[in-house]
Amino acid sequence: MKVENATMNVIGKKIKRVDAIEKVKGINKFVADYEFKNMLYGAIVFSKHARALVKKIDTSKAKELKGVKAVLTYSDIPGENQLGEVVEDMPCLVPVGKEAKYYGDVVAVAAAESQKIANAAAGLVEVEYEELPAVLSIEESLKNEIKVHESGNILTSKKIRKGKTEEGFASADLVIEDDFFADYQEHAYLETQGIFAVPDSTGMTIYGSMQCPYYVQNAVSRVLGIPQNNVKIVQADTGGAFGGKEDVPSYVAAQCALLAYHTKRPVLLSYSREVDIQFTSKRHPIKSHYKVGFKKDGKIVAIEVNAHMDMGAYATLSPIVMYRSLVHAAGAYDVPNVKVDIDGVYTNKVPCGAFRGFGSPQVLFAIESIMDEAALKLKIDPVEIRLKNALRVGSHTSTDHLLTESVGSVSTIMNAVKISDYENLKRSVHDFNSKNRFKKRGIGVSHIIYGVALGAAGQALDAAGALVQVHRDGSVTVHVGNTEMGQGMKTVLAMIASETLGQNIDMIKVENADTSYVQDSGPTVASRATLFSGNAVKEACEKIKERMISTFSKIKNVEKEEVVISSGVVRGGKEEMNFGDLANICYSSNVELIANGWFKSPKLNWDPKTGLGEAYLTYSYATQIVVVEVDMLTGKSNVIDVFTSHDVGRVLNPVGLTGQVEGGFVQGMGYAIYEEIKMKDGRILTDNFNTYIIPTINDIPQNIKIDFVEDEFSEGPFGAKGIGEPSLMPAPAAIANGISNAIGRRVKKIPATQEYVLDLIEKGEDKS
Amino acid sequence: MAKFVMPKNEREFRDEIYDEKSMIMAGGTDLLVKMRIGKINPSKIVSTLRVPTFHALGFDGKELIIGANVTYSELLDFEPVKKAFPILYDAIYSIGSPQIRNRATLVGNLINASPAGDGLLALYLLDAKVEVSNGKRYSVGEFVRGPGQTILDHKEYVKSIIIEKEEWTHRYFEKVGQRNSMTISIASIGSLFKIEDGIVKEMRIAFGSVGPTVLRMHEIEEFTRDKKLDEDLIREISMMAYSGVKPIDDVRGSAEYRRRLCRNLIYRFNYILERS
Ligand SMILES: Cc1cc2nc3c(=O)[nH]c(=O)nc-3n(C[C@H](O)[C@H](O)[C@H](O)COP(=O)(O)OP(=O)(O)OC[C@H]3O[C@@H](n4cnc5c(N)ncnc54)[C@H](O)[C@@H]3O)c2cc1C
Repeated sequence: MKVENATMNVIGKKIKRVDAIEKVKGINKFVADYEFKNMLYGAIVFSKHARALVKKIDTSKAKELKGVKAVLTYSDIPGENQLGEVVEDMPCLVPVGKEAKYYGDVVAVAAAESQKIANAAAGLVEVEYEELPAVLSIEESLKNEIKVHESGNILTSKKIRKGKTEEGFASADLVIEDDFFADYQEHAYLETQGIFAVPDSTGMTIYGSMQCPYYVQNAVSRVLGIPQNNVKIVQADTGGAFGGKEDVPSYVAAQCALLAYHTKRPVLLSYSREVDIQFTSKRHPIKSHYKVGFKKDGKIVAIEVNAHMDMGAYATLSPIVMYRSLVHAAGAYDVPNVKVDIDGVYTNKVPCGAFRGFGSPQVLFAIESIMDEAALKLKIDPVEIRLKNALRVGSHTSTDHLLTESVGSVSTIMNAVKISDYENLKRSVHDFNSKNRFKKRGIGVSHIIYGVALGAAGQALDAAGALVQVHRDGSVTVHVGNTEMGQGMKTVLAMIASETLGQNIDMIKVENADTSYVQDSGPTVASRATLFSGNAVKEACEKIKERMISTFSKIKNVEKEEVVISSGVVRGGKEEMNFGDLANICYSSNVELIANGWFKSPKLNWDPKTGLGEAYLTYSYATQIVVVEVDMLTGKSNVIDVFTSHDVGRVLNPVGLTGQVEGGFVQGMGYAIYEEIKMKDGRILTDNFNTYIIPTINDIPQNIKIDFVEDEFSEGPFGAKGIGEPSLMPAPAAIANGISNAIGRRVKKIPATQEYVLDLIEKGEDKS
Repeated sequence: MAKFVMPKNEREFRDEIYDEKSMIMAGGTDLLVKMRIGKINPSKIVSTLRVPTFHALGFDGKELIIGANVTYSELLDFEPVKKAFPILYDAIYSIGSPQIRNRATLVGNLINASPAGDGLLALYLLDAKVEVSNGKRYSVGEFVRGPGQTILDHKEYVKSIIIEKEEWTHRYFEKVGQRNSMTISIASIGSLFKIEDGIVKEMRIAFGSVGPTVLRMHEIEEFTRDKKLDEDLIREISMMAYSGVKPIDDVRGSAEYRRRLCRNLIYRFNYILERS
């Protein structure tokens, strides 16, 4: 545990979002608000078949339409017709002679003088298909009779082999074995996908709604066949992402860039909600089979997991999503014997990808359900059984990672018990149930672990840069390679810069990411921006501060060690000066007030053959206790109370942190009980928010109590770890457990929709 | 792009809707949604907003008159609705969100003729009358012909809805949607009772979203007459509801779930039992 200077001016204080006012007033610009002279509008053409051979594409009618400037197919691609971050299995535009592999596969793109004309042109593209039988479920895929890709339906498998599970089960007093299913979730970001491609004399600038500008740069450069220094990516203000703008903007940008390349005019490609839901990634459906052995006292002796994830038609990010499912499958516990097998399978459905939690909430839901079931069977309190198995300093995780610091797991359990007044809570639920006939309440508990940043499988990308410049008047510009998408990164980075430089936060501006300023800083995912960009900003600021102090000590003739800069004032000995005045003096004496910072993940040792090793740099922990009320006549669930405790290492901005946890909870609640992607023949029926049901303000529990545990992480900026994703992780499991507790039957599928729950109540069995 | 006009009186209004491809718009909360998805494509939209007579809203102690442009929010704020027609109040309160209720009208809900129409369910229960521009008054049952269908001819329009006041001792309304607000009914139930000394003198019952139109279940209404409201009767009605409704599967729920909901919702009459 690193001990930072105890007196902080900004860190740990409640700081208002630096971008709040412009967003509340609606004066900041999202990409669809941009305007360029001579701009065109883009539209895309879907295959509209789950699986079909493209025999002929005729664009002549579309091209004849007045106002249409380009209708492009695969043969118009100047570079490689290849997308996909990990596996090269996905074309930008499906060629003639190849299969379109899902309903939203794109065969052509059009650009026109108005959106209406572009849409009409897309509708006039005539494609001749030969329809082929499609693979629409994990079960069908596993039969491998119809192959989605020639290489076969299982793309990759990952495993953990720790200890000897057979021996573990032999020594168990109770073995629980069950199947679980976690279905799709749609990101439902407020702003749909959108890209503006603006060509110039040598290449183009891409503005867009995105999480990962460097992915976009890579894809556009590749598809256009031009070098990366001619493809500049500038992130536009981004209205939510949740993983849905990790890789997808690369595809949207490739489509849009092609149109700009051929028309030599700026093109806006902004998806309608229906197109967005139909085409873009989702959370993976995962089917899992669990077998867990317990001792009488609740101690886990062995876990075996066999899981299959539905990748959809293309691999996109699935192989790395699977890695996270693998590592989190056995939950937040110290277990001697662990065996996990996960397969990623292809289907002719929408490709799944990144979504807040990245393959882990599905498996955390399963293991946490089993923990509750075991508690019930062994007559141990659900909190007690988790305490018994929780990780501590000195424990080994399921991948045999020895934990040496910042393990706040037990503290989060104790904290959740305290803030929920757990014993009284149990009594009040009991009371409620004895008084009510048609409504029953249940308590749900969950305890989770979450690996921070990209981990061993993503080490090659796990670094981030910053470029900080102090201007002559003392104001500060911060460039980073990570992105603000609503999560509050700009605020926390401004705080870190402010704390480190000693300049007031209102003098610091964090810019949107621009690939021409900062080296590839990896994706803004995996709850890593505060940790990685935060450290990079801190380093850059320390360099500049050092030079400013040096200058001050020279001109004022005081020892460097005596100089302190804080709250915009420089002090040393009896001397005092404004930060801005010192900056001005530095400028006049040619002192360099621009600096880089770079933070990279320490080396993690990992053996993919056994799935053992240091899976992640560090882990966040959380415990959640909820009260759910179920209407026994309709199956409808309402979450009444939430008590949640997170170990975040160090609280940097309490306001932003609370916001993340509230938002994460609500998104997790949507996933747990409301949100359902319904399909017919591979087409998504629930393609807008009238049928894809996300929570409204009236569905959110009145009482959400949030508290934090601070167990500092020595590598984190001021001791902080990540929170973006851990905020969601405990919710689905806790809510499912709450429903199970209320109705006396085990929820084994999420979303546990009211129809599913009424089925459980009335039939006592799982329909699916 | 459709033309948008706002006539200032009924005469102008009549002239404007004469066009074959013109459509009437009140709040537009059904119309604009249908236009966006390309289901309808009017060349002219004629607004009811500026026509003073369409804003009529009054209660003379016997009849409630609701003009064609009266919004849900206006109805919720109109004291007699809450006092004399509480079932209408309950149903309307469940619709959409404050933003939707500020624009949407009860007449629009009627003409949209969706089996899921929550306002429409209350109109069925209250035996409301519809005043049409041809000078005639129709009962809601006559007026609505099927899903999305009414007896209105092109060039005809609805002037107002008229509801006669009656005394009921108990009522029940519930809508089951996929969430707590901004939700379309998977199934809904409305019921009005005259109960004296525990005996059902008269009752009306209607279900939404479980048939081609809102279903008034006259069999149940007849069956319960002069019977004692007790757990046995509730059980019997619930079975009648289960077998009497005619739901279909759709994206919001299966037919079987809907049937079960109708059966189960009858058990809420236990609350009435407790109070009567
Ligand atoms: C987000 C959202 C939530 C909703 N939630 C609900 C809900 O919870 N419950 C529910 O029942 N409905 C709901 N609706 C549907 C809709 O709001 C209601 O049906 C509403 O009552 C329609 O009224 P309106 O004034 O907006 O009708 P409009 O859209 O203006 O008109 C509806 C139809 O009536 C015709 N019309 C209107 N006035 C006249 C007239 N005087 N004479 C002849 N024809 C006329 C129009 O041409 C159109 O065909 C929702 C809609 C939205 C968009």
